[in-house]
Amino acid sequence: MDVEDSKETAASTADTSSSGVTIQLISKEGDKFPVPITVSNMSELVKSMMDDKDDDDDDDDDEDDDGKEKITEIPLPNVKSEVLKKVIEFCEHHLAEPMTEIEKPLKSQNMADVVQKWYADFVDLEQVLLFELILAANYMDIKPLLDLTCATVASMIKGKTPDEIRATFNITNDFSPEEEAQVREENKWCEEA
Amino acid sequence: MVTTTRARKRRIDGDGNDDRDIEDEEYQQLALALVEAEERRKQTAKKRRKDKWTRNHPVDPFVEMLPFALLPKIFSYLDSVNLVYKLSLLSKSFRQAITPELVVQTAVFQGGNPKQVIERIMKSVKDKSVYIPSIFRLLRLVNATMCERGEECCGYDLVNRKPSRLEKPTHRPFTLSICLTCVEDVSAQRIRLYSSWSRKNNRIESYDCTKLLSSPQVEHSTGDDVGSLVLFKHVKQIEKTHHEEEKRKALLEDRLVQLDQNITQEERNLSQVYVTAFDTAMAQYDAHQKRKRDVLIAIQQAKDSKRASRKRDMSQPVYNKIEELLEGFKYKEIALAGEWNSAGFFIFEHEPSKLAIGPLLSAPSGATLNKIATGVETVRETIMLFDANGLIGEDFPNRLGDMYLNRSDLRKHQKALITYCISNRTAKNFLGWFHQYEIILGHLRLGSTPKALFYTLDSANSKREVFVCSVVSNSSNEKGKNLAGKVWDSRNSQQGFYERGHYMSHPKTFDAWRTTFNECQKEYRSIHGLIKEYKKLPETVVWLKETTPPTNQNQTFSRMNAIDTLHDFRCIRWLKDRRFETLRNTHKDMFRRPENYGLAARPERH
Repeated sequence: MDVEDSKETAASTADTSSSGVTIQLISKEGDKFPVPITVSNMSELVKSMMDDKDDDDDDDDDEDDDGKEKITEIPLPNVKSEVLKKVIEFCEHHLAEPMTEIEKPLKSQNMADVVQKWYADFVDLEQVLLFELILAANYMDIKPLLDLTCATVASMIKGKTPDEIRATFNITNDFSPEEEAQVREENKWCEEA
Repeated sequence: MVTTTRARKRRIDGDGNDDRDIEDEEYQQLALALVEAEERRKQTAKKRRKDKWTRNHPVDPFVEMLPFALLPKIFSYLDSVNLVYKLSLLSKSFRQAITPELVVQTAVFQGGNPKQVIERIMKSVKDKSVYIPSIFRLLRLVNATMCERGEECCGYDLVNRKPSRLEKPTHRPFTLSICLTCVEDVSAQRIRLYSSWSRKNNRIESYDCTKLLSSPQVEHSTGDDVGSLVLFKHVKQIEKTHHEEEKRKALLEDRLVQLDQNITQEERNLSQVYVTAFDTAMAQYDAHQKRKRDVLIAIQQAKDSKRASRKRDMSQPVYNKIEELLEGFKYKEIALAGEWNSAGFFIFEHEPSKLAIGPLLSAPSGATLNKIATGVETVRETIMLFDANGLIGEDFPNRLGDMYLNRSDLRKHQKALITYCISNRTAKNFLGWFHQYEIILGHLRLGSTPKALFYTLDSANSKREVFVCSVVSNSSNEKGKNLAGKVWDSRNSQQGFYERGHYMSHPKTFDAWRTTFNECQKEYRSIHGLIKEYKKLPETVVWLKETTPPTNQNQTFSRMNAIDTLHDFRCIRWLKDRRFETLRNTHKDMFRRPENYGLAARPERH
């Protein structure tokens, strides 16, 4: 699905919303995503930006010079369109079916045992997109999404050997030779040293 | 070809000298050099394997954006301290993301040995009896497998260049990872420590309640002070100085103040974090284990359910075919009665179906049309056999009674069986499982219903009951039933077994049972006649009419009560021998002192 399709999807969802008040989230690429305020308010970032705008516009009318209703635009320059679309999808579903709280530590490596099936399927993504989603959730301050994505990465780590983890997460050995020698020396008496 | 050390040595020697010519020292050096070479070879091979693995698993160049700032949050979902240890070795960023809470909590949540180790260490940390281990030292202590003294280890292997493995994986004496031999080396034993004043102080760390660390310990790789704060010499010096316990305690407190100055504020804060994290994790441990267990159970149940569903899908067509073939059969519902169980098997309720068509549903792949038809035919035939003998149907047991009880050719024992089954059995009973199922069917085919009924009696007690009900027709005649039961038991007490607390025996075959039945009936009648005769004797009648009150004014035990004990088996011996005089004297004595016979409570003494 390309950006245009996603915009249409988001727009149609916004139209059917009962709240009536809609805001535009603008992605890094400049694509606009109209969403009901109830959905956008799941992001603490958007919520605080909205509050700031309300304070600024306190004395202004709700309509512009042409008499049309003014639609608030929130720029999210750190979030790509593809990622923002997923974020909105998550928030919309969360409003309909709130996600079960993820208990620490994880009781299972399989996310379907931890959260509802929809959420487990939602994070069954390519690793790049999953990481971008973590960053977006962190940036937009959406706690349930951040919990879900972080827990997913933890579940990916859980069943892997050090070599697999290194390869999966592209972890380069950034120890200097001295540091590595020191770590090796310290850990001589442990199994993995 | 395997080249031995000796062979290599010969080659190096070159001049063909014998092994014995080489000095021991040279030999040792050579051996060490060879071991080093072997280690280098192993490391090179490991690196080659690792490079090969990396080549086969190319890294996505775009995956370089793992948000490292979020690593502590990601790690907080882990529950394995072994994994945390491995992560700490991967990179600096991963190492920096490891928090004290993570180490403590994962050690607890992993359970098993790590949990036991962290419990022991945390006890010492709470008691403030040891130097506070750093985060990574704590991580190492939990994951330790070898003696941390390295080359100083008493069990150091000079050839393989490795310290001893820890003999007891959960022991961390003085919060050190040392082997038991090294415990002897670094500690001093005080025989009387167990009962001494110092043992009562939690801040004195001891091992095995008798040993104290003898010298300060330093971790060579980090330079950190480790082990217990109070040493053997500290305690010994205090004991030399004072003999009174109170003074000793005061001196120890002074010493502890001095020792505490070695602990920095940062370490104190760290210890607080450890303790808080540990207490929190311990409080959540049971709930976490239960959640994990629940997930495993749910997974198993899902698997079982899937397997059951698959099994049922395979069996359903066979069941449908059976149902089709039973169409129009009078007892179709009985034949098909049963239910699908949770494992996907159809369990028939009644034995005829269970035996004939049950196996076809259990193993549907082998159920051919021919086998199904044969099975269904067997079920029909068996059920109709029960029907023909009046053992099932809506009109049971009336039809059974009509068929047999008025027949003049049936003997008493046969009618006894029919009567017993009419009162104590239901039609469903006959469709259940019997030990001698084939024998029952055989007798039913021959029309010997009473014999078949005998083999449906499933316990010694039911065979006894048939006799009792037969000779005592009045069901409220408890005395008669008791006597009949005793008579039966006296005949059947040989080679028996215990059932419901009683030693029982019962005839296994119909003929043996019939013989016993007839003999018991004869004996019962005889005893019954003797009882009547005894009661009618003039002496007995006169005694019964006596009005002298009993010695005990409160006694409720009457003369007639004494006579009633005739049905009790203890009187039967005298009855059979016709020793009526003895019997009467016994009854008189019973009346005078019923408490001696257990027939009344002992009177209270004033």
